[in-house]
Amino acid sequence: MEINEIISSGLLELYVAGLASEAECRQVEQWAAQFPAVKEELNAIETALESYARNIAIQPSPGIREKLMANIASAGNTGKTADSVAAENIITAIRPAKTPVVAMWKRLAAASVLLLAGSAVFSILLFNKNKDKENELAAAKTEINKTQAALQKLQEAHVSAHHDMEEMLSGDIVKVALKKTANAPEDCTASIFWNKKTGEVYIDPCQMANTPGGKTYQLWAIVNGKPVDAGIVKMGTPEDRYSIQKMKIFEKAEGFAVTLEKEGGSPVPTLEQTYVTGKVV
Amino acid sequence: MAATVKYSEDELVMLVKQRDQQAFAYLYDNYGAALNGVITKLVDDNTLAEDILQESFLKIWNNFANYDASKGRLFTWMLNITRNLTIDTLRSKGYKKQSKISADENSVSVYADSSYGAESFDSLGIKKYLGSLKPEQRAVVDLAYFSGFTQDEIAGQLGIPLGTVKTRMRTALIELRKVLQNK
Repeated sequence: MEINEIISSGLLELYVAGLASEAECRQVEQWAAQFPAVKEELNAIETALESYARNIAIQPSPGIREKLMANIASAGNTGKTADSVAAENIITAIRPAKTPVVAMWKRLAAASVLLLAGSAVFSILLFNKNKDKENELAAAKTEINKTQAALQKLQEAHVSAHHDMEEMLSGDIVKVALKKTANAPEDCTASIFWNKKTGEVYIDPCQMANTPGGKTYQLWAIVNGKPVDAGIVKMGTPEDRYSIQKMKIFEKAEGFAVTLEKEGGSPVPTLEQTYVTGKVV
Repeated sequence: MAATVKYSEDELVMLVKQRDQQAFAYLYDNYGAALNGVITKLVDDNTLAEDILQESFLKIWNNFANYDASKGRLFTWMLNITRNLTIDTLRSKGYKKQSKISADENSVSVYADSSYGAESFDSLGIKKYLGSLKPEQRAVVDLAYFSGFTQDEIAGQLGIPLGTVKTRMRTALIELRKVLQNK
């Protein structure tokens, strides 16, 4: 801060009035030691104040001076004689909460140590509390992120399902019902939705039996009497099972079949493991 | 008031630190009335005010070793002791923290009515000069230096924003210094 700023800030007036905070006091004292102009300004403020007080002066009654000087005289240089106790009693009469002047700094020192200790404990408590809160906050944030991710996934699924539905409802879709063959161990059906215009093939596998471990379903399109790989049908999760899955694209096909194959699929179908078949009508 | 010996402030401080009672009597003669005036700004009861004055000077005598001339003038230090003692006394006697000091026009009209021409500079003349201070300027000086109110309380008392207290103290002090220089 520039000296002029210091002087015009109004802080020096507060300092003289005893209204500045402790930190401000230290600051002002440092400035006063550092800059003669600040010291001078402080002195001018104090002088003005002193002159002002002199102008509102009220002469006390003469008896006060006598009593005061008698007290001082009997108290002597140390201020510790019996008469000073009498003086203390006068003081006590005026102000019951009077504390011995000599012990004041000790009390203040003790009080400030206590205060410091108290504030340290308080700080630690506050710090711990703060840490707890931070942990809670972090956990809550993680939870929110998770929820948001799940929500986004749902939204995507919804959009995709909506898209699928529009596909199905457009007139270009041909539905092919795949029926159970004698090879299937239990009741199975599946539905193929084939967009003849775009060649997109979808399968709804929800009525298929669960696949045994290490095995997978594979869709085949029958093109010119030959089975051609149309992709793996995912059955791993309920989401897979109950979603309508997009398979490979075929411009033409006479029919579709699903066989049980080893994981990852096979280049040619294992015909004796054909579970469902259907012809395009 | 009529002291035969005159001391400089430095001499006075040195002598009182050496427990010189004559110097202390001089201190009382020199500052007693001013401090009594300050106390009277806060205390209606003259007897109580004089009790407080006496106790303040006892405290000044007993604590004189604590006075540090590098931190400010002697009067400021004595004023602080006196003011704090006055406030403590009022509190212990169950006075509510309120102030006799107000920014009321009437409270200064005594001084404000006469013009401030270049007359003889008796104490009445100085009071006339003080009259050229605006009432709110006097009020802020009185509150800030004599009442023991905090900045917040001064702002509340005068109905001004907290930030204005500092600036108003500054302008009031500048005005006061001008007035006192002119005398």
